[in-house]
Amino acid sequence: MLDVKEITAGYGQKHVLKELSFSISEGTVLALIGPNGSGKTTFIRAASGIIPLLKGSIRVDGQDLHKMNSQEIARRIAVVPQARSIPPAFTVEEVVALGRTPYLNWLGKLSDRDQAIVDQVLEQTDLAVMRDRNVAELSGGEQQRLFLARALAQEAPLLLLDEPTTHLDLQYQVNLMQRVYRLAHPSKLEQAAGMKARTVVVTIHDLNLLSRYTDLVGLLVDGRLVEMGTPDEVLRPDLLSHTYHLPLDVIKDASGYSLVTPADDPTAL
Amino acid sequence: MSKKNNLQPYVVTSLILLIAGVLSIAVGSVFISPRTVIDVIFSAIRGEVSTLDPNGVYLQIITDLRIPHAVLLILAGAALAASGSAYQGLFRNPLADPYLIGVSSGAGLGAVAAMMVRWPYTPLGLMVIPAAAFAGGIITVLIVAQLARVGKTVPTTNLILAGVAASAFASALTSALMINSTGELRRALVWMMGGSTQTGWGPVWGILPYMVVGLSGLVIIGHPLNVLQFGDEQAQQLGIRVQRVRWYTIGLATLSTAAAVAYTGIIGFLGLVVPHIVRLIWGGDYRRLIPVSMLGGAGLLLIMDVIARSVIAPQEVPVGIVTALLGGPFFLWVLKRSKSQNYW
Repeated sequence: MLDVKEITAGYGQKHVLKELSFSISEGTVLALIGPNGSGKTTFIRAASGIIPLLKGSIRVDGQDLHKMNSQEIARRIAVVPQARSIPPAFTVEEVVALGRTPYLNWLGKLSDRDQAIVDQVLEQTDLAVMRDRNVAELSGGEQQRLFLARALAQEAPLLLLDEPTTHLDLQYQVNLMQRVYRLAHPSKLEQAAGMKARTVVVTIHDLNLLSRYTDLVGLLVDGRLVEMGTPDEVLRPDLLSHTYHLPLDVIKDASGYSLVTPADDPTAL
Repeated sequence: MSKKNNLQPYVVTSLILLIAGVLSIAVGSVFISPRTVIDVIFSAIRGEVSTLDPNGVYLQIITDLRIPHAVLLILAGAALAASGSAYQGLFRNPLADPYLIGVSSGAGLGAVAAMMVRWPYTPLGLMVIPAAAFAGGIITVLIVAQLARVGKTVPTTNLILAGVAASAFASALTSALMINSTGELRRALVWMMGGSTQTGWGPVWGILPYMVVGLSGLVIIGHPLNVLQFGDEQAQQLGIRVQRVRWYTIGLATLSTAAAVAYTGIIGFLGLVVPHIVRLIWGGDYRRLIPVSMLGGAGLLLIMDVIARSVIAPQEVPVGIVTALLGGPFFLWVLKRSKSQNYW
């Protein structure tokens, strides 16, 4: 579904991504992890057409992204940015409706179908009850969900999430990742209702959310993909300790999911 | 943006504009009561002679002097307020205004340069000054954008700094030009302070083609400007062609500003105050903000002009002085009040 082939990208002379390659199929949640500056956000910017590729290609469903204009890209790839500042002049419903932009002309008038999609997305993300509220009144977690809703209104098969959990408390982190997992793995009921499985690439710092809510994990170090596989394949103490320059342990919780924890005893000295 | 098609802002601002229009036609060296104004106009429309104006003197004053003056101000007010909202949206900066980025001063320089020549008083001759103003405005914007550019983007702070510098430079050149043209000095000075010096329908016809293009273009860019409020990157990820929208907005807003500056001079604060009031009352959706600001700006400029022509009658104060005197403090009040509100 998503084919990334030997891409090199960066800013000016600085190559942040170096010959990155991977492929994922439809209905997959891929988490990109790695230390700060390893190229996670740059990948999202390159894949959404914000910065040009110096080498390589990115294909979605076989089509080369960098031969498309921004409108064509926006119908295939929806980006959920970090909800840090939202212009306060809008209501919840208005922001979700902006997700329809790739299908609208300059006048921005919603068709009945556009409005139906907005209504459906508001229900799906539990934002319908606050649809007329000003976005400035929302909590951080609600704002992040609002950006997810806007991306869903784009009806793009591929979702890119840029560190969506970073500024959220635990409740909202889990809530958001549950939603993300469900988007890639819709229930039978949702499938019967016509919902298609999305493909998700999410950059994330919290390694303990990975084994529950993602299918694949890619470890980026210095712009290169050094390891990619299932969470259990990538979450290895030796690999992570080396990457983060820190002794780390990987343990299993009661349900058998992997958790990463410092292998450090501060009282030992 | 809401699906409820709310007409209230349009109705309110249109009513203000209508009342201001009648007042503007009534007030002048000869005062014609609003009742007479309305009666004379409606009689003329019906092809009759008004009983209140048996000799047709009022009719002549109204159609030859007062209405063209009012129409000129309506166009200028609409253009300045609409350009102000468009620049504010484009640069995501509440202080953006035709002045801030140097457009007004650049357009002023172009207009003054063209005024050095006595163009024939024909429709084509009258279109020269707005064209020169547009050329001055666009050249200024291009220089400013070039100076402020970092790589492929134009950061707001750079843009404003470059705008202020270009504005000062253009103003200095304008002053130099004016000082060297002794005969035209007073006229140009009055013009600089925002006083219309040409009367009759000529200036209206001169700027009308530019206004039609500029204003109708600005009305339809509301949606892309809404998306741009989330930043260039998110706008592009939502499918907006950011560079195209940027140049389109700059071109249309500059054209409108230049057309306004050409015959009504440099009128400050309108482009700043009107969009802010509209935003405070009716919210920041640019699809509504721009057209409502046009109506509001037209009405407000007419009212300011009535004040300018009546405070020390029979002498007239350039309207730009009145807008600055009343607009400045009012703007400070708006700023202070708005701190607690989520409207910007």
